[in-house]
Amino acid sequence: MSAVLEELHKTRPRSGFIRFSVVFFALLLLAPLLTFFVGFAELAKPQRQANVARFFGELVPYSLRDKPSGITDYAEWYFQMWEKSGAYAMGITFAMSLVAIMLAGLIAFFLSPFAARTLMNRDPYLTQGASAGPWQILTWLSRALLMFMRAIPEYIWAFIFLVLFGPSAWPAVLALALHNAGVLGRLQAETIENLNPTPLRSLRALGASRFRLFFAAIAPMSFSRFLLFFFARWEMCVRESTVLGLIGIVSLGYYIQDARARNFYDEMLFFILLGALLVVIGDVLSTVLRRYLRRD
Amino acid sequence: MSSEFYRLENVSVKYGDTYALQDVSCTIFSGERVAIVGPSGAGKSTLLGLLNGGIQATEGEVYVDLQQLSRFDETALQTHRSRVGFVYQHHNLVPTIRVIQNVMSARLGRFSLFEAIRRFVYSNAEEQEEVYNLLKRLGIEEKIFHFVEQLSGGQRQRVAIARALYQEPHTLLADEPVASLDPARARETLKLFSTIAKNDELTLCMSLHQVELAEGYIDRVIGIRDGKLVFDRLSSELQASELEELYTIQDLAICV
Amino acid sequence: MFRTKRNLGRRFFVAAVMGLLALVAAFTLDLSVLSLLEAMTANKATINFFTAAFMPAFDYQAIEVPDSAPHFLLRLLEASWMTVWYAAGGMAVALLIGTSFGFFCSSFWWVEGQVKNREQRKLIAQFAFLTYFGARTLMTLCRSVHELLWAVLFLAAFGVSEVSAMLAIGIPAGGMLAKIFAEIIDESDHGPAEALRACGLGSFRTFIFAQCPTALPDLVAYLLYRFECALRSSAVLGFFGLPTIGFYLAASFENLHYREVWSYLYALFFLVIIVDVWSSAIRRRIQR
Repeated sequence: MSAVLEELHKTRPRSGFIRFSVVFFALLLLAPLLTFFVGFAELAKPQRQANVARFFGELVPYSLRDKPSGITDYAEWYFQMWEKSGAYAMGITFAMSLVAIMLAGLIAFFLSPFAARTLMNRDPYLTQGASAGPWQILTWLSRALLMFMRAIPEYIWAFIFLVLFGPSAWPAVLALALHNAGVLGRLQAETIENLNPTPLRSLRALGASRFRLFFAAIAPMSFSRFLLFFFARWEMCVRESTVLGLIGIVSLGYYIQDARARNFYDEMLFFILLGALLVVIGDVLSTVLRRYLRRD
Repeated sequence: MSSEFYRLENVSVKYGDTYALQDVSCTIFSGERVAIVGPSGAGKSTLLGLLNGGIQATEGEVYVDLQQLSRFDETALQTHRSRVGFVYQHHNLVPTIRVIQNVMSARLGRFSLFEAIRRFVYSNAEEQEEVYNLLKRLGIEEKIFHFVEQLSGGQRQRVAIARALYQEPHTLLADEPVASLDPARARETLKLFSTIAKNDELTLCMSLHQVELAEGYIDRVIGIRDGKLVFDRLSSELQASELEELYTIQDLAICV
Repeated sequence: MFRTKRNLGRRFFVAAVMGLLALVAAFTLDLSVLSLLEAMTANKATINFFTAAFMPAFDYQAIEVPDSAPHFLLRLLEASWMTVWYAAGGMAVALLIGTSFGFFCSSFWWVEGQVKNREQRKLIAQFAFLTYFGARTLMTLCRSVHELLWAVLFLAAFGVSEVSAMLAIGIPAGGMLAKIFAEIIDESDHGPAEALRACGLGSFRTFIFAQCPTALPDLVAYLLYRFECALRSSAVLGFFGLPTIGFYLAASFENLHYREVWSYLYALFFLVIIVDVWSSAIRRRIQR
């Protein structure tokens, strides 16, 4: 009886790969966590603590330090900062994200059909499992390109472009556009692959070329999903464009970097909070827009 | 047959302004096998929910073993529910874990949290054997260590039955157990439920679309329509005309 | 039919408005395509840089390399490993934050709390609502500050250290994890949990024995996607002085060693590909 059970237990379906993955990732996460806690304990030492305490003290606005001040004083200081440069920086950051996501959307939308396997084969939609033939090369190339664009973070692209193209808003915009086009393009390619093939098949049977198929059917059919991804990525774009200023483009990040370089930690905190506010605004806007688009 | 086990007295259940059940009274005896029949949306699932305490009556009173269900406190209700096995229409199994874990999770409320987690992860030999025997009765003992998502629909239903039986229930409730099966399979499944109930001396309550399939496997038929009790007969006394009425008047109601 | 048409119109309307706004934004930012083209062609380095893409370096480009420096490929490996190391540490912190707060951010356990006593239930619901709301606000704060801004803060507070880096990666990622975990858990099938509740299990037990396993495939997929993001963040933290890919990349770039730069870019590319492939392999196996 239990022998049978044991036999069943031995032959139970299991995946060595999953086991390996679990153990691997558990170790991979645990090891640095240990050093993290050791480092954290280090921070608790007295003189380190004093440093940290001083830092937090410096987050308080300079003019308000060492004297009793109410909420109105803080509000006044923050409002002054907002008028001085906060509003301008926020506007620039927002504008950058807008241009960037638009560019990203355009690149992704027209690059994605090349990465869709259902479209890039010898006989799309008509022959089941048609061999890819030379089209395969196109798919692989565009997929690799999208993947590469996605793999390199905006910050690195911006760093490189800033030196190559000189100072303007272009490096930041291009960097944002490139990375997000990578993400959007891949998602859009997957959407195209998952489209309902029936109407496409009948169009194709009527003799539509791949080009016409894309513009007449695939593009409008996939447009709504694309817009949902588009706004989700826009949210991320707003988030990223705040920090791209750290390398010298006049967005919020620039002011943060500037304040940090001058050790004005109170101003630095102000701009960081402003960045957070901008992200929340982008978050709400994108959610509202997506809900508006989903509504029938 | 034997003693009264469930009694509904003028029970109504309201969702918002609509009645799911209206003024229903009936009695179910211990060890009885009952089919609740009626068209879709008649309130069959609500009736089952009342019996296992998952749904509370808006008006009227449900008695379990002569005690008022509404007077049960948290623990008593928990105890009552743990003794009622429920087989859902969509089985409601966790697909990503093994059959044995799914079956065993029925008893995890009995242990301390730590002990429950330990048993969930590493079942001991006695438990394995118990689950194995249970599955053997249902003919799927080979699948004990398989993942639920690897099983067919019929096999999943058997796992769901095994989970319900592992609760050591006094009552077995089944919501539309044969809804998506062909007649031959449906009869086989109903036979399985019936034999289990008989052998383990369980009170069995199934909601069905068609009572004809259950012929010979049930003791009593309760017909409901639009939340109201239409008939309550021993299956031997059931008239064909009553069944016809149950469905045809429904059609008329839609026409009007 | 009519409805679909109107909806499509709305989509094009939104897209057109976005396009218009983008144009306005482009004007305010003073972006002109001509000036970009000019800038691109003016600098010879641009061509050098992009041609270097086809011949990434396998050895140092510098003529004189200090003897103490390891072989270039070893350095590449080391940089990649450090990138993974900080990303993993960050993810560990994020998991601690994300799973604990994700639980509170989920509406699963308080909406469906099943305490029968009405007074008690009201009290618990109020308390639960407060923690739910508090947890959500806290997590929003965590994730709306970008990881690099967290890095700026922590580097200023704690100096260049592992703790700063891992906190910087972990806090915003934790906020995202908590939000998405809660969403996944709320959206996945509640049937199994209902079944276990009917077996007499409490809310917390149904949560860990039914709801979490049901949502597992999606949770794992999202976790691995976040790991990929953490890899990128970790690479960028190199620009702030941590020994990850970004650090060496910046140094090579400033020395005009463009082929080395591409080697680092490709290394990051490979790391991301590995995680991506791994993720889809895992998903294939747990979602048969």
